[in-house]
Formats: sequence, structure tokens, C-alpha cells
Amino acid sequence: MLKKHRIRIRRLLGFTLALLPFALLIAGFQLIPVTSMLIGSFTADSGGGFTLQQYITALTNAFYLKAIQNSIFISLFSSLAGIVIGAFAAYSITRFSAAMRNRILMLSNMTSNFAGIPLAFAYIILLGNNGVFTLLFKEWGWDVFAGFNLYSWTGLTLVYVYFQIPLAILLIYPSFYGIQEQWKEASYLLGASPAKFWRTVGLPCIAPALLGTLGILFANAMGAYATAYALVGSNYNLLAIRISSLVTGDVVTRPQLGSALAVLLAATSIAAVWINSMMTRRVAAYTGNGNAAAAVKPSRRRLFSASKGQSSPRTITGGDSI
Amino acid sequence: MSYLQLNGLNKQFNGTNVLNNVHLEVAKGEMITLLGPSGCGKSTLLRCISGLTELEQGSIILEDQEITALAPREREVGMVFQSYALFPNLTVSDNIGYGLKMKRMNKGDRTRKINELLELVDLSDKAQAYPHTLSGGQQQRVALARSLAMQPKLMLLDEPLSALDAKIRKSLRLQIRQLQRRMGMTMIFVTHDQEEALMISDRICVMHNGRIVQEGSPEEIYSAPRTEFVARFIGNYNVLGPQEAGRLEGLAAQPGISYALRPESITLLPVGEYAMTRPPSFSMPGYPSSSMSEYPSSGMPERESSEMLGHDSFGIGHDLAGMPERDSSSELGHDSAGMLRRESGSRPGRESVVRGYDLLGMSRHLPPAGDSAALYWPGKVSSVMMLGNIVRYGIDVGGIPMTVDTLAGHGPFRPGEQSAVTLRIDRSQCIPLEKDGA
Amino acid sequence: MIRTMKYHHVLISLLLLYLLMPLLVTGLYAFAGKWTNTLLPETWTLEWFRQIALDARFLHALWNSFWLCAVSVLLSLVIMLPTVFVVTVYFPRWEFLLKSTVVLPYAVPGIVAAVGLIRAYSSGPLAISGTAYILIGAYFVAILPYMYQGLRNSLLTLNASSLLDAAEMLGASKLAAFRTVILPNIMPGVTVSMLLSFSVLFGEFVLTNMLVGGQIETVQIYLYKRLSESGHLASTMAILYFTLILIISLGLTRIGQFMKKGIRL
Repeated sequence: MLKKHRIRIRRLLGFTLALLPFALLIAGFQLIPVTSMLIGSFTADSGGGFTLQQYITALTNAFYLKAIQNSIFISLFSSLAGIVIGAFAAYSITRFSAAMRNRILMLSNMTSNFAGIPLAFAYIILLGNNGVFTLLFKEWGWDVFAGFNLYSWTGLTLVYVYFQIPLAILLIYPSFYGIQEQWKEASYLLGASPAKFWRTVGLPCIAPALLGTLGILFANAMGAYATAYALVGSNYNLLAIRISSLVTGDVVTRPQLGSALAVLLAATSIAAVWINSMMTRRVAAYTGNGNAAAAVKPSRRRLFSASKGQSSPRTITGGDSI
Repeated sequence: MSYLQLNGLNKQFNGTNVLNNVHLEVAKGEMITLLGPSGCGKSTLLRCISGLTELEQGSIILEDQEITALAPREREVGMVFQSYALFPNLTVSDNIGYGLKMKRMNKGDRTRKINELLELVDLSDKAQAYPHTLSGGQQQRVALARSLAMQPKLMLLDEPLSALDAKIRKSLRLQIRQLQRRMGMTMIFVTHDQEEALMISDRICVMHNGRIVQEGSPEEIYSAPRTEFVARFIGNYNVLGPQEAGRLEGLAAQPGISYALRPESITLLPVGEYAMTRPPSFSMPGYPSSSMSEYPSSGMPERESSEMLGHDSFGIGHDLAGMPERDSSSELGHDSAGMLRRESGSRPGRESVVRGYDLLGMSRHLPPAGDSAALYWPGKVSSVMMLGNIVRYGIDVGGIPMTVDTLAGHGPFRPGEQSAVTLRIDRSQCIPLEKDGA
Repeated sequence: MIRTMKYHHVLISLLLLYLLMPLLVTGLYAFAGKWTNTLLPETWTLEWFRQIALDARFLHALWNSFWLCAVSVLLSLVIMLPTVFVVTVYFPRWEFLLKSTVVLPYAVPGIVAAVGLIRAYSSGPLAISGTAYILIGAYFVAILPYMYQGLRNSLLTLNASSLLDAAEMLGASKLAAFRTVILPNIMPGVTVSMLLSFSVLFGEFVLTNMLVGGQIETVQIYLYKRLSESGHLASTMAILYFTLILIISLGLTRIGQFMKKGIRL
């Protein structure tokens, strides 16, 4: 019995040794910062006790409200554009042979690495004031594009759409495999046209996937920082950029207000991710676990799609740099 | 003193008793099967013996040595897993040699030993192959050889065949049994497949809710189930709950008792006709002749011999035995159609049987005088199913569904669906059951 | 049928053109000498690559990026391997806790993480803001989802606990079993997670810029600083960066294929 006891103690010691460093790092770089940010968001600029003042400022001050609105607007627009293009493209990809599918997906995923600073830079070369296309269009006299300005909202949205599309394709693509060919055949035999099939069966089946993906794209755009920062510096009134300059700005810093805005931003993202995981579960219920979907994903992705629960799309986007 | 002794083993998971005071003694060279449905604790028992799971109470003694507190690797016990658990990064040879390497056996001896084992399991040509290139059966043979290499005092097999397809399963279980006999190895084999258990064991322990509910030779287990659970789990018994038995003549004599009736021990007769003499009982060495039915087709011996000869005969016996939880043993709760219900308070005994028939106005079914050894019930055929050399009748006996098996092409009486019949069964074939959990 | 296929071809071609265009132009720009008002550059040159190769600041930034990412990934491996192993094998019931801890950096934008870190560490007893320590800590958290997912999936597909049981029954100690059975089998999966994490960190900008932007120059920071100076130099850097990411990605697919036909089914 004594020996049994000793073995148990040794095992306990081993587990503690294995888990302790992880716990320490998580505490230091996740729990403490999050707590500190939460506390900060409920503190007045001068310090002191609990106050909701920062949140009130964030949601009433015209300047910050505008930043939130701008962010929501550009995120919504770019994710809607991304999801429409992504859905059509993803469906088209499913019509190709297996080898072609993999090649197209590989290219699409590859471009998703092209984000953040390099992406902003590429667009400057393409469509900036002295961009290759800008000069070419001028040369060819295409006046339609004369009014285009990359550093405007239109330009920024264009760049956002660019990094949303590969992500949208990646997320929507598997759900098309939940729609079985037999369903289509059955509906044709029952007298439905292809368009009718999509309206009555196909779309309802992938609607949860589309909605979930929309959530992820929205969160992705809301948190995007590098692209906008590189294109137009901190002059743009976007939520992420406001937060950054409130916390690390050159002139004035109001870290408490920055924290409050950051908490709001985090809340939207977490909500979006949560919606996505709910929707993913629903798709799985419709289509029988989406195993078929997992099977067609390229190998690298498959490694990272959890066997159950949600997959992690940022795996591929390098989304943190956007 | 026996070779392996399990004394009062207890194990809990989340407050439920997975093992409930388990006692077992195993002789050297014995093949023991732990049989039971999933969740009955059989695998946990095995893991406790191996040391992979810790016990709460009890002691394990192997060859006069208490091993309860030893680490798995100190117990000299081998284990074969359902998932094979072959190491995917090692070749077949390296898998087999893994334990020997851990023992620091020198390379020459190791190679020799590995080659011996490869030959034993007939996989010499696969020595350098990786596990994933082998079939399931081959993988399990490697796992077997890997455990044998350690020359364990005791070999534990945790559902080793259930991941394999039917054909491989059948041949591999015979190979395991032969190997066990040849080497005089003591084995504990876990399975939920009663046919498998009946075929390969010296002794079967039927487990239910963490207890061993019945223990005995395959013959004993098959022909004399002790409790309702065992009867339902083994074979295609017609299990009659106390309610149902109470509605049947002859069985109602002792109220409150469940009975098990083997489907092949019931004879079908045309209405109004009675077998005057007892059907010749099939006797077999080692089998209590009274417990054997009039024909042996789903009994053990014939099946086993055909297996041994390697025939893959159209295995009715297998099918019968392979479906332990068929409708045949389903207990119907409905208390309708009390056409055979006895009046309450009637005296038990032969007289009351006759009276019961009279009361119900079914004198047509009246048994011939003098045949007190048998019971006769009226019934109606509700389904006929051809199962190869067996015809299986579903019969409605006054609202109680029963299964009756007859040899195909045997005897002149072949009732069709909806025809009325008389069922005949020897009293000795109505096996009274104890309550579960007793 | 053929007509609809044509539509898919056109759609996908346009899509790929759209997606690859920025890359192509950046590539061309890196090799272009004179390029105005024409579809393709008028002259070609390797001058920009020569300049980059001689740019000590760039090389230093490259080195910074490299060692920061490498240290973070290795740290993550050393810490996550035992953690994920112990939790999946011995405490599967607590997995949800680990999972929710680990998924947080995926749900929370980098900018938010940066705010918290700056608040916690810009003053007080542990004022490590602006140093490599805080960045490595932040990187560690940022790649948690990838490392966790990769390690966990490797362990699950391996069926680690039954292999460990088998090894123990064959006389191996827990440590020996881990070393001889678990480690060699999860290596390919672990390598994939590590490379992926590395490439994610290599392209990281938000955390780097906010936490140590003024103190440590990584490739991304340097790229940002030179953006407005010389388009050609910046595109050369962008292309070099992208090539590196591409090589890592190719490595990932190769290992993926190897894993598919090699070690297990």
C-alpha cells in the first residue's frame, strides 16, 4: 500500500510539472492582461473607482461613435461582398476535378498569406497615385477610373474585400459537400429546376454555414489593423486604429478609453465566433457531420480541423497580420 | 491454491460501481471468457488485472505473488487490445521485439525470438512491413505475437476480435484457442459475443452490472442459464416473465417465476394431435441429456466440429447464436387476451392444468392421459422464416410471442402462416430462472 | 453541361487573376528597371535585390524576425507538448477548459490582446513592455490555437493512450513509452504545427508594432517603415517575404502528403 501511495504522489508531481509552465504563461500573458484591460475599461482617466464613463464616452462621443460606425460599415460591406463572391467561387470549385480543385484551393489559400503590410503595399503599386494601373488607365483614357482613390473608403473596402475572399472560399467550400448529388437528382425527378432546387433545398441547407462564415468575416474585418494602418496611417477613423492610437499614440493617450473600445471590439469578435460555431453545429446536424466535407479538404487544412467542434479558419489566413 | 486469484475487487467511476465485489479463481492453463454486454465491467476487470486501471479494493494474486500494487510492467501480464495498439512507427519485427528490447535482451537472442514468433503467427514474410500495410487480422496476430514474446504468466485479451470482419474473426478465434492449448497459456478473454465465448472457453463468466452473475462451462451456461439476464443474453431463449408464465398452463403452477424456453426444445403439432411418446432426446457425451433438445442443430458440438474441419458451412448455428438479442426473447408486457389466464387462487398441480383447459373450453388441446412430462399449449403461427437448415416460427401463444425452431425438412408437419398449432414442450425444458441481481 | 462548365472556368479564371494580380505586380516591380505607362516593365534589373542584400538594417530585421519567431515556436512546443499530452491522455474531461483557454486568442483580435498586454506590463513590477520578453509571451499566446490543434489531432489520430497502455504492458516505463512510441509518431504533425505557427508569426504586424514597434525592428516593421521610400525596394522585400512563406507552405504540404501515405493510414 505504501508503494501504491508513492506511485500516486510521483504521478501527481509529474502532472504538475507538465502543466505548471503552461498555467504560468497563460496567467501572465492572457489572464492578467485581459483582467487588467477589463479593470481599465471601468476606470476613469484620472484613476480611481469604478465608472461606466469610458463606455458612455465610447458610445456617445461623435468621434468614437463614428469610428465604430465606420468599422461596422466597412466590415459589413466587405464581408457581404466576400461571402457572395466566395460562395459562387466555392461552388464553381466543387465542379472541377479533384486535382484541379486542390490546385485552385492551394492558390487561393496561398494568397491569403498575402495580407497586412505587403498586401497594402501591393495595392499601392497597383492602384496608388502612381500605381501601374492608375497610370495605364490614364494613358488609355479610361475616365471611369479617374475618380478612383485608393486612399479613400472605396479603396480601403476594395483591399478588405481582397483578403475576405480566400477566407470565405475556405470556409464555405466544405459545406457544399454536405449537399449530396442525390438530393439534386431527387429534386429534378420530382420536377424541380436547378434554380428551384437551390432556392428550396440547397440554400436552406448551407444558409447556416453562410451566416456563420459571415460572422467570421465580419470579426476578421473589425479586427483588421495592419492593412488600414499601412494604407493611410492613423488618420483613418476606424475602431482598431482608434484603439491603437489611444493606447500607444504619440500625442495624447487615454488607455482607459482605449480599453473600453477594445472590450467592445473583443465582444463583437467573440460573438461572431460563437455564432459561427453554433451555425457549424447546425450544418453538421443537417448534413450528417460533414465528414464528406472534411475528406475533400487539402491535407494541411485537415490537420487543423478539429475532429469535432469548430475548425479554426485563421489557421490559414495569418489573420493576425491583416 | 489456484494460479490466479481475484479477491473482492471493487472499482468505482464517478460514483457508480463498475466492479462490484468480484471474486474469481483461475487455474493454470485455463481459458476463461468474461462475457457480457458493453458497460458490464468486463473490460474494466481486465484492465484492473493488468494494472492499467487502479483498484479501489481487493487483491490480485498471481502465482502466489500479490501483484495488486505493482505497476503494469512489473506484473508479467500480457495484453492484447481491441484496437491492436501496434506502434505505427515500427515494423512488424520491431513491434514484436519491443518488449524484449525494453528487457534489454541482446540483439541475437532477440532476432531469434522474433523469428520464432513470426513463424508461430505465420507472418514471416511480413517481418519488415509496417502495421498499416497489414490487414486487421494480420495486425492482431502481430499484437498477439508481441505479447507472447514476453512469455507472460497471464494473457489478457480485450475484445481482440471485435474490430475484424466475421470470417477472419472465426478463423482467428480458433487459432487463438489452439495456440492457448498448445502453449498451456492461461488466458482471460473478454468478449460480448456469446458464440465466441461458447466456442473457445474452458469456462465462461457472464458479467452484468459489475458482477459475475454466472460462471461455468460453456455447456452449463448454454443449457442452464441461472438468471433472466443470462437467459436473455445467451442464445435465442424464449424468456417468459412471471406475468407471462402465469398465463401458461403448467408454468403457472409456481407463480412469480420467470422461465427460459429454448426455441428448439418446443415441438409443433397439428391441433388435436399429440405425440404420445416423448421425442427421442439427443444425447451427447458431456451434455446432460435431459437438457438437450430433440435436435441438435443449434447446439454446440456440431457447429464446432464443422468449424474445426474448416468448412464454411452455411452457418445457421452461427446466425442463431450471433444474434443474441433477437425478438425471440423479447418480453411482451401486454396483458391482453387473457385466454389462458388462470382464475386466481387455483391450486397448483396437474389437476388444475386439466381444469384450466376445460374452463377455457379448449378440450381439443387436452393432452393425452399419461403424458405428464410434457406441456401442451395452443398457438397460432404468425410468421415463418427460413434460415437455411432451420425454419423459425413466430408463434402467438395466447398473446405471448414465442420462437420455435424446427429442422428444415424434418418431420411431416409444416404449418403455414395463420394456422393453428399445438406446442409441446417437456417440463424439464422449462428452465426456471432466478431474479437478476440475486 | 459543357456550357455550364465554361461558366465555372471563366469565373474561376477571373477569380484567380484577381487574387494573383497583386502578387504578380509586386513580383514584376521587384525586377523592374523603368516602368511607366506600359503593361510590362520596359527594362529589367536585379539592382533591388543587390541593394537589399547589402542593406544591413534589412538583414538585421530578418534576423530579429527569425529568432523571435523561432524562440516563440520552440517555447510553445516545449510547453504545449506536455500540457496537451497530459490533458488528452490523462484528463480528457478537463479538455474543454484547455480548449476554451486556447481558442481565446483566435476569437480576440490582436489589437485587443495588445491593449491588455500594454496595460499590464507598461509599468509596475514587471515593466517588460518594449522588450523581447513581452513579444515572445504575446507570440506564445497568439499561436496557441495552431499548436494545440496540431498536437491534439496528432495524439488523437495516434490513439495515444492505447499505445501507451500497450508499451507499458510490454515493460516500458512511462517516460520510455513516451519517447519510443508517442514522440516519433507525432513528430510529423508537430512539425506541421510548428511551421504553420512560424509562418503566422513571421507575418505578424499588430502585436509587434504595438508592443515593441519602437524598440525592435522585424521584417514587417521594417517593410512598413520603408513603404513610402522606395517602391522597388519594398516590393523586393515583400517578394522575399512571400517566397519564404511559400517555401514553408510547400514544406507543410509535403509533410502532409508524407503523413498520408507514410506512417499511418
